[in-house]
Amino acid sequence: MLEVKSLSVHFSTADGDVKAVDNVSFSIKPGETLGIVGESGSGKSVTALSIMQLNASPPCNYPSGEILFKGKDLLKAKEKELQKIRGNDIAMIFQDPMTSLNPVFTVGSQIIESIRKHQNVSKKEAKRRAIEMLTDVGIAHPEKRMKEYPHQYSGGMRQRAMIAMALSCNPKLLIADEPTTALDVTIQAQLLELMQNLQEKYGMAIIMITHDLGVVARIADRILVMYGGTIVEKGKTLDIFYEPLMPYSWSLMQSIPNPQPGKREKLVPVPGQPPNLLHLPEGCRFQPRCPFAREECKKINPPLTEKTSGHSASCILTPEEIKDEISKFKRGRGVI
Amino acid sequence: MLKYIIKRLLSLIPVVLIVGIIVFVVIHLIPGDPAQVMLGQSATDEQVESLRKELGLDQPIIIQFFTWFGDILQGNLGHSVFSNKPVLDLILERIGPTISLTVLATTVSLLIAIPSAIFAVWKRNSFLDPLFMSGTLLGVSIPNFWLALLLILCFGVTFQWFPVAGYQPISAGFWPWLSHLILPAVVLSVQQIGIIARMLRDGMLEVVNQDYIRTAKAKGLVERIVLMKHAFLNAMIPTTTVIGTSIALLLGGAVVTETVFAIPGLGRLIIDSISSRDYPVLQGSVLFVAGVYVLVNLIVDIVYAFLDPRIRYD
Repeated sequence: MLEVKSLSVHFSTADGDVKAVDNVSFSIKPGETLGIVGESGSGKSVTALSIMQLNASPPCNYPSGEILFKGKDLLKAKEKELQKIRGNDIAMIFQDPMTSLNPVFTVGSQIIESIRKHQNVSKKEAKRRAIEMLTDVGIAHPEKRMKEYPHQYSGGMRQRAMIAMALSCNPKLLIADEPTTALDVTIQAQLLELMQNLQEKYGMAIIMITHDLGVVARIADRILVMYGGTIVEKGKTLDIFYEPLMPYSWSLMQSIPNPQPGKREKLVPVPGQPPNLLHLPEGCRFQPRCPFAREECKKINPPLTEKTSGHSASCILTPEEIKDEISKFKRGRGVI
Repeated sequence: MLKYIIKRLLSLIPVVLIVGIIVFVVIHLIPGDPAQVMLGQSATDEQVESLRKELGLDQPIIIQFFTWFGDILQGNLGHSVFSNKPVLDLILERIGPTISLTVLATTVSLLIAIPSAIFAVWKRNSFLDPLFMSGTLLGVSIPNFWLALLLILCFGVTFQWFPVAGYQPISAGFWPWLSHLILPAVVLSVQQIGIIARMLRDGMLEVVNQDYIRTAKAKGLVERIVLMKHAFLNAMIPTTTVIGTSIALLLGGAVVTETVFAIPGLGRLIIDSISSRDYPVLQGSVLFVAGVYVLVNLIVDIVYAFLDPRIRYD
């Protein structure tokens, strides 16, 4: 349905071009959930905003690549065509629900605005649909809540309202850019469940962007791991969690606390800083922080290659070598 | 909403009281006896004494203040020393031209400032923005009197499109009224446009980077609606203050412009009362101007509440 082919996104700054996204390719099928994981500055959000063509341009430019949606290249589409796609075929929800709704309009009017923009329906019909959407996302007393302003909603409710707005035109693809990051854990869980239920009901595909591995583990079918603007590992969710083929993905998982009673394991942070996108390191981008780095890693930047069926990674180590390194590392820490 | 307005109204009471004290004290800060100062060097002791009695200057100062303030609360601002007319009547005579000028100048400035600011934000990445910025800077920095003289010279003397000076009330006909006010209104609006347009542009540029503007774009809205509906209303909240202040400034009398164009407005009344040492008139009109400021601020607060639901529902 959506295919991104060798997309690069650069931002021109006074110090030179920042290569925020570098040669990224992936695709998503109807009804599928794709997780994009990575730390801050890895290019997740920029990739998502590129699909919507919502990166501030200038300074953003696209030196190469194609984003094919229903056979049309969104990078070459005219603003008018994009406006027909945004909110209608592809909808997006954002990280901070506190600031994502316009404070001076009622929540209802903002949902109705979206419906009336894309569907040729009367005000009354749009209102009925908006109430239905608010009911669908689990907001009680939707008629009354329609007339309220965003500041009268709690954070979780605002994100629900954002989801209602995003799904109001029945999009084929929902891009969720860290939708639960700003919310507390119980609300997070409720929202993820809600999104899964709505996906079943409406059948849209979801791109879930997050740095929270717990979130993707829960809802994603496939995962892209991004680092320094590139995809470093790509595969089915279970494969990546049980058999990471790129040391970075493994390091990320090591940094999650494991809440098992009786087990006292120290958290292992990923050492060092994310790469400077203005001056990328020689060789593999992760090499300066990689616990398994070898001499040749400083010279070769390994491309993303398929290592096992449907599971690609960009690392010169073979799956067996990585497995060895991991068990060696664990033995060194006294954990088997 | 009603509660909000009542709260605002109540908060005006101490402001009015403080303004009253300041205006009252100022006249007592003038060195020497106010009655003597008013009447000048040539006055006899009897004249001074009778004026002191008339003005109540022989009473203790606290009593003087409360008598004076009590009179004001009843709408009695005292009498002019010269014409012996009630000060309130003098002010009301002069308020017509000032209001006319304020309404006209403000209308012109809003009609120009708002669209040009939106346009500048829309074309923010082109050469038009620096052009707009220097235009507003020019508007703010051009001296009033110089622009006034220039316009009189050009449109009054050379082309003879508009009268050079003077004022006609609207009862004398729409065109005579308008033609006398066009040049002064333009002079006053040039400065207002500069301030309002710049404020609105800055406000909108700040709003344009907000998350909810990205949401509006993600909904597929056209840039025009995103700017004119979603960004504009939010940016109007801070801009309202500036518009309110500049309206209050004009209502308080555009002293220089009224003088250059010989418009019998409030500003002229104040200037005249200073040069003729007509202190009751001066006191009364300063108090009146202060009252106008307070009232305009109240209106601004109410407009705020209309624009921003967060204030309305607080």
